[in-house]
Amino acid sequence: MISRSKNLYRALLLTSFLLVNGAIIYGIAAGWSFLNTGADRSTMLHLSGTLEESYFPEVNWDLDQQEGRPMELQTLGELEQDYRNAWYVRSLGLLNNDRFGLDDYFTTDAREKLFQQLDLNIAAQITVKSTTLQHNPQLDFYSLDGKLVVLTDHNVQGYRQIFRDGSSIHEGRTQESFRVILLLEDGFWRIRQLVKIPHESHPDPTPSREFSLESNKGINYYPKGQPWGLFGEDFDPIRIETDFRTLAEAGFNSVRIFVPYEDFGNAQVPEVALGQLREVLELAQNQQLQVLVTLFDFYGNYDILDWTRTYRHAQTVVNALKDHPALLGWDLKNEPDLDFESRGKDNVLNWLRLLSENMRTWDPNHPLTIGWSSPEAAIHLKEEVDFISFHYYGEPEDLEARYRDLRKAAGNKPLVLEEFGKSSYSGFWNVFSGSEEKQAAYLEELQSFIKEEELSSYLWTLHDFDQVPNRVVGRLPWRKAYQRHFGILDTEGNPKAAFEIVTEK
Amino acid sequence: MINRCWHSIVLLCFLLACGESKVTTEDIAEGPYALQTEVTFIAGAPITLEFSGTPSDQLVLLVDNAWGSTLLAPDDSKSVSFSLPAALAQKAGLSNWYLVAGQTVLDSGEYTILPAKPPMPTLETYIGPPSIFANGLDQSMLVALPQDQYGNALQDSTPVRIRTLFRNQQEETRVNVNRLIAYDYIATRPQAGELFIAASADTQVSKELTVRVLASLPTDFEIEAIREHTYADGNQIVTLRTSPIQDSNGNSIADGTLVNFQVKNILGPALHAQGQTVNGVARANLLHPQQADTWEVSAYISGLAKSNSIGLEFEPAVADFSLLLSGDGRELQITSIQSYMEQLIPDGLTVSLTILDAMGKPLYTDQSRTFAGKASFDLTLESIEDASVYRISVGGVTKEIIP
Repeated sequence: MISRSKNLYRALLLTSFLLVNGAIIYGIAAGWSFLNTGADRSTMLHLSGTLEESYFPEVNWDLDQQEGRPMELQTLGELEQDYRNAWYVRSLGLLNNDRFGLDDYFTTDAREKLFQQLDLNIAAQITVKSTTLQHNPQLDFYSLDGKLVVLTDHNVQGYRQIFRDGSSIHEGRTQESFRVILLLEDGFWRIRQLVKIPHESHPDPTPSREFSLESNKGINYYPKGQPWGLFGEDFDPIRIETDFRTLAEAGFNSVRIFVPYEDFGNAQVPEVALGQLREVLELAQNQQLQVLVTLFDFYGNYDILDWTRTYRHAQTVVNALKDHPALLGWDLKNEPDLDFESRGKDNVLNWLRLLSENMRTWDPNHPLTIGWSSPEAAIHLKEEVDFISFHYYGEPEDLEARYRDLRKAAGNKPLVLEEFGKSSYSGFWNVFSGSEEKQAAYLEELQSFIKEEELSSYLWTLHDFDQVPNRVVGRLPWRKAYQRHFGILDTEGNPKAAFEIVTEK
Repeated sequence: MINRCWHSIVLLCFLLACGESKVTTEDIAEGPYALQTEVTFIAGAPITLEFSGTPSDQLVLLVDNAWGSTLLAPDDSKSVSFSLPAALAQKAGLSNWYLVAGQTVLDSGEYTILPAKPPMPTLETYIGPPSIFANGLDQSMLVALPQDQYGNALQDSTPVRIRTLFRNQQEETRVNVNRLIAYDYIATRPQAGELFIAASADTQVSKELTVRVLASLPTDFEIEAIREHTYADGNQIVTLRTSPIQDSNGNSIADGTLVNFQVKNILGPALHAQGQTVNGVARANLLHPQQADTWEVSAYISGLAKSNSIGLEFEPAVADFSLLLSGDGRELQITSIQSYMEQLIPDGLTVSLTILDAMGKPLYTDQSRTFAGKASFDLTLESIEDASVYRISVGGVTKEIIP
C-alpha cells in the first residue's frame, strides 16, 4: 500500500516536473516570438497597391475642358489610381459595413458622411454589393499649386445588389454622374466632396451590325495531346498548322477556339498570350478558316466585385483581335446556363447582358453569341446576341422537335449548332456499348439534319485525347473516359469511321 | 400502401404550393403606386416621400445617393410614406429611389436635395503657391469651397468675395461658384512683401490667408574693395563688398543668395571667395598678397547676374633686409626685415631660399617665416656641398649672398 502510494507520488512529481518545464519553455518561446514580431516596417511608408488587383473599371478621361494648371501625365496616373481605389474601398465599405481603407481615400469630412451612411445600414442590417464598371471623368479644374482637383464623372455605369438581413431585396444597374473634389493630402488624392448630379441620357448604343453566316461547317478545336490547352507553354504552331490544313482539306471553313480566362492572366493579359492568339488566327487565315472565339473558358465566379476584372480581360482580348480578317465573331461564354444553379441565374445573366453591351462598344463589327448548352437554354438573352448558339448531345430523333421550339422562340435570329458530337468510347464504364461505327452513325444522322436546315454547325471535336483535365468534366473516370473519344481522328491521328461521314462534301 | 403513398404525394404538393404562394408578391403590392410629394427639398428639413397606393409592410424604398445605397421601411402601416433619416436628408445632391416589393420595382424616380440656407460659419479655402516672385508673371490661386451647415457644397453661381491687401492697399474681386468651387488667380505685385487675402460668401468668412511676394531674379550689381592700406604685407585683409543687389523692380534679393568673388592677378585666375547676401549685400574677405601684385576682381551670382570688374594695386611692403651667414656656413640669418615705414615686418611673412650651383641651377629650396623681423635657415651639409649662391626672397625683394 505504502509502496503504491510512493509510486503514485513519484509519478505525480515526475509529471508535474515535466509540465512545469514545458510551461516554462512555452513561456520563453511565446515571449521570444512576441518580441520578434511586429508591424512590417514598410507599412510606415503608406504604400498602397494591393487594392488594385481586383478592381479594374474602364476609365476614360476627358481633359479638354480643364481650367487652372495644366494636368501632368504623372499626376493624372496617380489621381486615377487613388480615385479608383476610393470607389473600391467605398464599395467594400458598403459590402462589409466596415470602415477599412476609407481613411486613405476620403478626407475627414467626407469620411464622416460615409460613416453616417454605413451606420444607417448597420442599424438596419443592410449590405450592398456594388461595383462600377465605367467611369468617364472630365477634369474640370486643377489648382495652381497642384493640390486640388475638381472632376465630373459622367455616366458612371455600375451594378449593385442590396440585401436586408442577408436576403436580396433588389439588384440592378445604376447609371449616375458625380461631381467630385479631390485634395492631395500626404501623398494621397482623397475625395473631399462627392455630389451626385443629374446624368445626361446616353446616346443609343451601337446599331446592330451586318454579318453573314454562310452555313458554316465548323469544328471545335483543340490540338492533339493538348486537350483544353491550346495556349501556354505547350503552344505549338506547327501542330496547329497541320491540323488546320487537315480541316481545310476536309471541307471545314470555321473553327471555334477557347480563350481560358485564368490562364490568360485574367484582367492583365500578357502580350505573349495575345501573340499566341493572334498567331492562331493567322494560321487559320492561311487556310481560309474563320475563327469563332469563345471567351471566359473555365470562368465561373460572376461575383459583382469580380466584374471589372472580367471586362478588362475581354476588352484586352477584343482589342487584340477585332481587326483580324479571320475573326468570325465572339462567343461570350461557353455553356453559362450550367452555372445558373451554383452562381444564381440573375447574376450570370446580368453579367452576360452587361458584357454583351460592352462588347458592342469595343468591337462594333463582329457578331456576338453565347454558347448555351441546350436548345432550351438558348432562348436566354436572345435579344442581346446576333446569332443564337446551342449545343446538342442528345438523341438525334429528339433534335428536330427541340430545334423547332427554339426556332419559333428565336424570331428571325440565325441559329448555330455550336457543339455536337458523340463519343466512340467503348469500355468498362459503358459496358463496351460504344463504337466508332455508332459514332459515325450518330454524326451521319445529325449531318443530314444540318444539311436539311442549312444550319451552321461546329462539330466536337477533331482529336481523341489521351487525357482529359479534371477541370473539364471532373474526376470521375467514367466521365473522363467518355470525354476522351469525341474525335474524328484517334489518338494516333488516324481517321476514325466518323471522319468520312463529316468530311463528305 | 399505395393509398398512403398517394396521400403523402398530395400532401407534399399542397405544401409546395403553399410555399410557392408565400413568396409571390401579388398579394402584398397592389395597384399602382405614385409619388405624391415634391421632389425638391432643402437639406436638413424633414423629408417624407409619400406615395398613393395600398400600404403594405412588404414595401421598401431603395435609395441610391452619392455615398451609397440604403433601404427604408414605411413610416407606419397605414400609409405609404417614407421619412428620410437625417443622414440622408442632410446630404444635398441627387438621389434615385425605387419602390420595391419582393423583387419587383413598383415605381422609381429621383429627388434632389438643395443645400441648406444657413451656411457654415467658416469658409473653406485653399491657397497656393504660398510664395511667388515679384516678376510680373507669377500668380497664386485661391480656391474657396462654400458650404452649407451640413457640409454640402453651395450651388453654382453663389457669389464669393475675395479681398486682398498689399502695402495697405485693398482690392476686391467677385467670383461665382462653378462646379462646387469658386477660384481666382492672385496676381503678383511689383514689390516684395506680404499679401493678405480673405474670402467670404454671404456670412461665411475665411481665415486670414497670406502669400509672400518675394523679390525675383537679381540684376547686375557693383562691387567695391575696402582695405586699410595698399601694401602687399600678406597680413591685412581686403574686404570685397557688393552694392545692394536688387531684382528688376528694385526689391532687395532674398537673404542668403550666394555671390562668388573671383580674383585674377598678373599670373591669371588666382583667388576665389564666396559670400551670402544680407539685405542684398554680400561680403568676402581676402588676405593681402605677400608681394606686389595687381588684382582684377569681379563677382557673379551663378547664371543670373554679374558685377563690374575692379582693379587693385598692391605695392611692395618690404623695403630692405640684411643677410648674415654663420662662420661654419651652416646657418643663414635674415635680419632687419623692414617694412614700408621702416618698421619690422609683421610676423608670418614668407621667406624663401634657393641655393644655386655655379651654373645657376637650383640645388635646394626652402621656406621660412618671419618672426620679430627675422628669419633663419639651418643648412645641411648636402645642401651646401656644391653651393655657389644663396638667393633669398622676402615680400618680392630678392638678395643674394655668396658663401
